[in-house]
Amino acid sequence: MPVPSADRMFSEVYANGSSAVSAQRDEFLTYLSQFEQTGGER
Amino acid sequence: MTEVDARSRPRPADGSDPGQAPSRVTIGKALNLGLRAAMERDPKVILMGEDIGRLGGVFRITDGLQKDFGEQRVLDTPLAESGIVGAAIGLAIRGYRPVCEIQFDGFIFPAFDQIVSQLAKLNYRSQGRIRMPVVIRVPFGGGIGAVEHHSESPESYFAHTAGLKVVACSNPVDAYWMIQQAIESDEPVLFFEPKRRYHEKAELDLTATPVPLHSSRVLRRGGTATIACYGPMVKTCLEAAESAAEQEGHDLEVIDLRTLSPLDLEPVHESVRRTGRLVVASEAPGESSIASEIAARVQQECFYSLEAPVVRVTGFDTPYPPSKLEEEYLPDLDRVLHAVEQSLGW
Repeated sequence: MPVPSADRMFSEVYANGSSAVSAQRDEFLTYLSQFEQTGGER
Repeated sequence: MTEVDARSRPRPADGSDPGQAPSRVTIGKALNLGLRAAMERDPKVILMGEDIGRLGGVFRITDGLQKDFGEQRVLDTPLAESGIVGAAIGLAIRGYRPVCEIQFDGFIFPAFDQIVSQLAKLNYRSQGRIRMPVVIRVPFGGGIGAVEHHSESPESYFAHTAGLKVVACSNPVDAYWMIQQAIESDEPVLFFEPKRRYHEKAELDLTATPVPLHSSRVLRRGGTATIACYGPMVKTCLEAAESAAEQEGHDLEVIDLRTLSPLDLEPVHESVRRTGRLVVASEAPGESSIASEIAARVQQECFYSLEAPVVRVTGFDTPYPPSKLEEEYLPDLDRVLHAVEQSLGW
């Protein structure tokens, strides 16, 4: 089974979505992208 | 129930004293030794839980205790958490000191009604005539690759409930002493154990004087910023502090909260008055959490000392994800350092 992408963690928490959860997702993905940009590993 | 005289307990076949601690022990072994010491001291201490007797518990925390203290004091219960806690409440009314094991954090919710509606309130309801010296041990947090319901951090639910005490150990020394202090308490204590740290080792000095149960402790001194944490996050934060010192020259102070209800925040306040910055780290979701409470209180008490807003680094406000994503979910060393940088960059 493939490893799901990190953003899947924030999906379907609420039936109609949540701005607070979406904001956390966006912040976390921005944080992760910093590692990709610098070629660093977590 | 038949009382068993601890002095008459059988010894292992090799003649060794099972209560004698080796010098370096894991958190799991320290809990086992602490439970054993409490049972030897007080015949009213009994253990209850799923598979804790013959098996010794899924994490082997009660390993050997049924063999040495008997089936009357180490009870294998049905798979019914509400029944375990309900029976413990009845036993406490009759003068016993039950210690319940909830096999995994997510299984505590079937007992939620007994804990919140009865255990927490009987002392109040009886105007102090009925004490509830019940300990509920809960392996908590993630990081072991488990399936759903096995990696929860439910401590905030209980810290929110008047009448309950809530503590979390983070190392073998605290595990050994805190479990005994919790059992000796006349109040109900939710005792959270960091399951992914059960195998962490440390020297255990049985002659040491333990610090009070409801006190936080500074584990690492520093002046750049303060990190408050508890349970499984303590090791992560100490490693983050070492990394920050090596890589950035930052000198981070790390405080193990140990007690979540009541909170002992005076050491945190004193630290923040020196550093001006606070990061609170917890595996639990951040919404309406222990971390939120600390942030609120620190801004109230240390407002004029703060150089930056209190930063929380926590689990996300989602259900605990499938284990393939838990490394992303759990606050790790990098996320703690990121939070520190956020604070320093303010």
